[in-house]
Amino acid sequence: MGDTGPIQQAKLVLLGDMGAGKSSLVLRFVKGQFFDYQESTIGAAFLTKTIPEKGVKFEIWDTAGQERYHSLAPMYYRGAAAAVVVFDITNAESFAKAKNWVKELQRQGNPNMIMALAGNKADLAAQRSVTADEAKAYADENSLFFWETSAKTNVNVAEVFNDIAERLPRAAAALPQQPTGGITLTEPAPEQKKKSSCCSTA
Amino acid sequence: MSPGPSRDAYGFQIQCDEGQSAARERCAQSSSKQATKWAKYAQKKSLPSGEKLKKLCRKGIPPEHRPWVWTELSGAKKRRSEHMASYYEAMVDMGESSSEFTHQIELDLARTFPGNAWVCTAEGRAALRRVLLAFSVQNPRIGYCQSMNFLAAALLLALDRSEEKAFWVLVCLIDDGGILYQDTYARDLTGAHVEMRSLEELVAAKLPNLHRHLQSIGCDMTIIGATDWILCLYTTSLPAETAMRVWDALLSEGTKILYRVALALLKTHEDRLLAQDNAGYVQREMKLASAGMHDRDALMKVAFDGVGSMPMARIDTIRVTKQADVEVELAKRSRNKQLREAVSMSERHAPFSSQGLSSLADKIKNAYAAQISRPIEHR
Repeated sequence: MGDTGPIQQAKLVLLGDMGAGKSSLVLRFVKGQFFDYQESTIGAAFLTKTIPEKGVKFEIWDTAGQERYHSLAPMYYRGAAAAVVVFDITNAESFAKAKNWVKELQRQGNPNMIMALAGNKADLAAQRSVTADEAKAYADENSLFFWETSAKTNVNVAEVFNDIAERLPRAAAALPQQPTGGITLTEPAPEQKKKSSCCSTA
Repeated sequence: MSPGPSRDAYGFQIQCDEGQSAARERCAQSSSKQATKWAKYAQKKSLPSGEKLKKLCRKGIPPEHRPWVWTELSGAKKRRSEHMASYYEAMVDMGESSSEFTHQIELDLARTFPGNAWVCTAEGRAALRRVLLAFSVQNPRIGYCQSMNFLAAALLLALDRSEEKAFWVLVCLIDDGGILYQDTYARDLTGAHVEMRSLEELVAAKLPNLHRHLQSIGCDMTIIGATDWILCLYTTSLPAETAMRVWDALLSEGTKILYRVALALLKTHEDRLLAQDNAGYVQREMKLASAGMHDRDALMKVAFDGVGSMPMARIDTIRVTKQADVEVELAKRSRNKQLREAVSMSERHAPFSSQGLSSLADKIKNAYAAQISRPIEHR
């Protein structure tokens, strides 16, 4: 996309187990910052970042990781153009949870959603309990693209988002912008449900 | 006052513009006036009753009196006296040896107010750890819910770092029959969903313009950030000194205060919110506006005088409806989940071709659907 093209807005959601590093990845990507102790996210945080070279403005929802917040997640991934599912390579349980998220998105999310799997904390490779091969094989089976990332040492963070930006359907950029939720991509017709349906099964 | 970051009375970094600094000074002055009114009660450590108490709490409890006043107001003092003296210590021991939430709690310790001067110390984290572990075994049905880390830390800060007081006030807030709505922190957050939907209803009634706007951009109370209000009780959204003022009234009057403050925040910043045409930006605007609410007197004035009457009976009626909605939805969700698990189990075990497999899956789905359609038909 040249600098003359319109900036395409894309809603992106981060999902994954608590402490996997979702907020840290976003903060690294959006602000270039990293904190050893990132405050736990309750509900969700919203951040934006434009990648001018790609003509994309990401509208990012960074969600809470604890299992019981799961019932809130559909509100954030509904209509999302992309998702980054994050796990911690030193924690096998977090990889299992990541797979569950992928399954849920495949079933309930936008069918054209672009999904990335991020194995975070690559700087702690010495303590790894999920191998890159294992994660890569899973990602290939499920047509996700996969990166091992480190928010701390800034490894492959931009790559994840750039990859997504490149795969966003170009045609959508030409569509007029919708005022709602910044979702301009291939969103299925909104359900005619009244009001909030935070626990809805969609 | 000199510009740049400084710390408030609770050890949180704050950065104020001139207007906010001036507001803080005004609030500090009115707070010291209140302190003289509290002196006689503090001397005898005994609270006035009824309207008098309610009024005093609405104007703010002097920080130095919060340790004894909060433990009385919340029922913590009474609750503690009903248990053996070493109950807290026993819960800590039990939590340390057997809490199923140890890992989650430990993960959150360093992620709880990392910028606070005391919470981030080894001492602060150890205290927080013990309070949360103790709570998680004291109420194993709730256990540990992210957000309780902020509540426990705020309590430790307000209550002279007394773990035992913090523990008992936490119990009085969250346990069944406690101050907060039932199951707010339960394993599927049922109560939090109910509270956020009930708030939505009140916003529709009290701030109809704003509500219409929010609806038109798909921004409900969860999206706007009511999770922080309902679950963290404003400790993560408002400046600490303002949040403590909210707690003064919350512990004295109950959960309707959470609604009053939410409405006050929305009303105070209505214009800023109306100017945003995207749910995400609304949330960000709301967060920024809340973080800058150093004028605690102004916020509480709107909460008490600016949002109209709010009888508890009305809130209760709304809650009953919302509770029913949420229960049906959550039940449906969990049945669907079971169904999917059953199907995927069959896929894993059946040595069939993919066609045979999908017909088997269909059979299972149909069988399940027939079985589960009955109980949800009443909706």
